[in-house]
Amino acid sequence: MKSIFTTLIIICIASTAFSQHYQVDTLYKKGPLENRINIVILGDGFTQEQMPKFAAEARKFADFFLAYDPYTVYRDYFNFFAIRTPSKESGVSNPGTAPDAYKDQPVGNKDTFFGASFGHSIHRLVEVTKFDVLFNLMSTHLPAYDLIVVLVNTEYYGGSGGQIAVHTLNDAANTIGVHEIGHAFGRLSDEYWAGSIYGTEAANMTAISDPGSIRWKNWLNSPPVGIYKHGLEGDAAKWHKPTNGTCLMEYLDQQLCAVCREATVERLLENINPVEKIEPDTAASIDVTAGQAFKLGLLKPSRNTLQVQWHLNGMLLPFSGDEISLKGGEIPDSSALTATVFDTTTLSRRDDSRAFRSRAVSWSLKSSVPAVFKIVASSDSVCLRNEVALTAHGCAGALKWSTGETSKSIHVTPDQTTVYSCSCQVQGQSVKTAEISIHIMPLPNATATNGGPYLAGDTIKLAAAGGKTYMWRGPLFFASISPQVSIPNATLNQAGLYEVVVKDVNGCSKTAQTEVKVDPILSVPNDQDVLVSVSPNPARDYISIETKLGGKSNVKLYDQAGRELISDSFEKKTRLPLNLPSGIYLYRVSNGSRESTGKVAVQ
Amino acid sequence: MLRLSSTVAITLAGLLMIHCKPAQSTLTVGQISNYNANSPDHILFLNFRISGGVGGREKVELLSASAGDGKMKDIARSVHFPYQIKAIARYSASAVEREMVFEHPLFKGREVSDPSGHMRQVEVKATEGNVLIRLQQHSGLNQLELFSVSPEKGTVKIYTLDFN
Repeated sequence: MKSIFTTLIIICIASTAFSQHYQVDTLYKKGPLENRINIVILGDGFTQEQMPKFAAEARKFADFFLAYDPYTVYRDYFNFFAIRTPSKESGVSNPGTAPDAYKDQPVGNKDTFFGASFGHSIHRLVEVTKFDVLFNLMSTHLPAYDLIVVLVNTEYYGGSGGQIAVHTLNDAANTIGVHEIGHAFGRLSDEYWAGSIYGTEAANMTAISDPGSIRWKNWLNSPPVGIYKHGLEGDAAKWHKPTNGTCLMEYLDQQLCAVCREATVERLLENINPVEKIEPDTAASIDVTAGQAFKLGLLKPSRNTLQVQWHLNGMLLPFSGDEISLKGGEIPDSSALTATVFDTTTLSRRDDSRAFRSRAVSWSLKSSVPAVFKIVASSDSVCLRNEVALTAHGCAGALKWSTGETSKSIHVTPDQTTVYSCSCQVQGQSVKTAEISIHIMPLPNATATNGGPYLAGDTIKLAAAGGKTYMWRGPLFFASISPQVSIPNATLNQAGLYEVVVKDVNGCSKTAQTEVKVDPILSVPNDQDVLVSVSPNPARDYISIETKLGGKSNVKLYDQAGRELISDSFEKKTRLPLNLPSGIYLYRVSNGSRESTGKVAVQ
Repeated sequence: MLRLSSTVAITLAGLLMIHCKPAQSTLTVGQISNYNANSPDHILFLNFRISGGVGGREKVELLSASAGDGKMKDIARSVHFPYQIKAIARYSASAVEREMVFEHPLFKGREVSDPSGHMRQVEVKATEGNVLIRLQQHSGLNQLELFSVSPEKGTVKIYTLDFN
């Protein structure tokens, strides 16, 4: 039964074979499909006679897309194709049943290639209906496509997203395609509040609001990027976005914001390798006895931000171009040449991007010059707890490190200055040993303090010590590079953890924190009958607290470190004995939701 | 010509499948249309029709399958709407089995915009729809399982496609 069924399936599948071939226009072919983002533009509702119109519209969209930031910088990272699929009838189906249907748009069905139609219940929702036709077309014409945009032949506004971006020829509809590609390619979230089910962690959406750890923390000093709630209440208040009304992911008449551009560029650089050609091939050892040129074919952004670093046996060479020539007679046998390509684009401020997306090309070299066995460190002097890469060069045999490892490169994190050694055993030869000392520099003795607790309206004073440079961060996007900082007119929102990165003369850094407390000042109504009275002030042996507020009141007395010293509950009036050292103390009197705070001096 | 052959194919497939188990079928990869045995890299295109309801009540039919040459990149739109179709390719040999998540064709979210640039999400329901799965063929591929995902029923397996 199963075999019969299988056969039937195969027959039925074979019967759907897509035998017809349609003209594929290459709009922009910048490179091989496997190393480009391939966008295919399809047309629906264009008749055979209208194919030139479709071709023009397809190019118009490609140009519109490639002029958009950041795609315009990386325009050579994209291929654009258009497939000419003529429809029997011109236009698009319009059921005319939706409440928002355009009154002047003719109603009726059109026999079109992909069966695009305005919506039955939401008019502007224009979707294709013949998915099988579209899918079969792609499998036979451009199976390795990455993104599809369908242009629908009508000037009436409409479109939709999903696996396939669809939009009409209306001038305002072009950005639908770019927005949808933002979802599909950049994995961006909407920046308008689409509803609780769409609340999710993404490059431009997060539940975290801490400026020090939010996804786009590196952009907070670049307005209009900030931390904006999606809404004031409910789930919308739990989710945050980087801009408010100034991003394509929120409004179609805007550009992509800096955070969305960064995510897009990172996706692009993750998928596309800027190293397209390598000469000579790296498969075999290259004989450099008589000299040799090494060359990279690079795919450069329009503003060339590619940086090339060349290393010979781990030592940085003073060349930065795409090509380098090594002279003969100078390079020892068993050497290694490495070219590292990194895009230094300022469109991304991602932490550790160099480690994540550097592309390295390595050649093994042979030469008549005798090999020199040595160890090269990524750095011979590092701050405590930093890692160092050690690489053995010039050994054509078996390696053994003093750590017991046997690989060509090892990573170590010494807690004090340490000498590492490695032995090289070539069969039939005596063992060679190389050593290297890694010097460890201590971290600065970083401290951070503040003069609080404070009352609202006071001046917050922060102090850091232990280094040469300082970088403060704190609530409400606070940032400063001074060791001593004053923040006038303190508000409750400025209370919280302040963090300072202290860096010493060696470049070693350590982070210190200090918590700032800001208490509210009188929040009771400005009514003489209900004010809290605290007397005497200055006080000696006692203080008397009196209020005309009804019901139970509570009073607490704190020292300047915020420690609670005295607590009492009372109605109308109380007298608190004091047995405290001289100084300034803080009191807080609460009655229901009302609260009053102040300072009292004890003599 | 294309529309005619597709219509015939769909009709034929429907008629043929009336007497078959709806939850499982078998596909011989080498006999899929356009399958080029000489190509090192194959992309499978599988078109499923979904009907019946959500939350495990789906009726799944393989409408068509075809193949193309080349390599796919890891580019897929994330799906956040709670009703989804999840697909997992299974391998006889050890391979990384990755979930692919698709919009549920019978209940999905759609973005609607207006000429002023404002957008909103709307819920779209249908009685029948398609799930289009594009799959890089790795060695050892022997099954593709489809699951219905819904808040009410969780994840329910609804279909298995065996490859041989």
